Amino acid sequence: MPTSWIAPGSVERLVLTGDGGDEALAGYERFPATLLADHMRLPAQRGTGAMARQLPRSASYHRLRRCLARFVGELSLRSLIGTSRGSSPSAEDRGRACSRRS
Amino acid sequence: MLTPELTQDASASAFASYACEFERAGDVGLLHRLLSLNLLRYLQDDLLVKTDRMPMANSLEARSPFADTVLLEDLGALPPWMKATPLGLKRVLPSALRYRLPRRILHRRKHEFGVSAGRWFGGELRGPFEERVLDPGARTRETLQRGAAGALLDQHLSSRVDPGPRLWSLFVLQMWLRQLERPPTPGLPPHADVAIAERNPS
Repeated sequence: MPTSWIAPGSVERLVLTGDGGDEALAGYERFPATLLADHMRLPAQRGTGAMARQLPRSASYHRLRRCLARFVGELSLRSLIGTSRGSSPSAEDRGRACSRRS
Repeated sequence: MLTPELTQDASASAFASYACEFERAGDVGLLHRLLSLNLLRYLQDDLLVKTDRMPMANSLEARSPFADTVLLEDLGALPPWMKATPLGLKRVLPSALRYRLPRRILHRRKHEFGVSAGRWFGGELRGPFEERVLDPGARTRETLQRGAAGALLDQHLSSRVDPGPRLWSLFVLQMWLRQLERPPTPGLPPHADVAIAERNPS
């Protein structure tokens, strides 16, 4: 939605976006949050995702509450996908094509 | 919020796809597994799709130099500790460009690029939401638990918790389902007549 709003305002025909930088170089705060949870060997908690959603979200991107909500949310994520300390997949599993969402 | 059948289906299929991608990344450490998952799902299936389509809809071409495959391969070869540690992000890019960019750009905080859609549902979109999504004949009824949409709106209006993005998703889902019901007008691409009608309400 924001992209579609600003697009008509461009006087250039070609614009550059920063998409990909956060994924290539770990630009999201959720990465340190997950690493910290993993480092502390915090028990993965099923259901903390719901708890995280109940925490009041701050409008600001950097507020502590928001970071806390992220951190608690990550614990839930770990309960679902396991962690780096989990089992390592077999070569066969690794080669298996992952089905798309559709 | 979804019906039990849909919830089951969503956790089985959608989540399995994420878990599979996470596993397939192999023994590269937690951070690189997460980055791989983000590249293949969030960036490729979500962000890049939107930043391609929305400019294109406005006769504008957007390119994403950070998504260059050669660059991605090179950055993927950097050790994980150069990107993030349990104590925080490492900000490789500002460090690398320290002598090339002005200070005010180097030290600018990361900024969200979003809209506070949630606010609208307490104001100008409240009526349209109630009219469409809470209507007894709403198509979203088939996908949602009974009363879930109304409860979400009440929660939004009464508390500090902001379910704005979910309200927006419901609103768009309802309009999309309704569009699908209408027969296409000859000579126009499918659903273009609806888009035109929505843009120019008579």
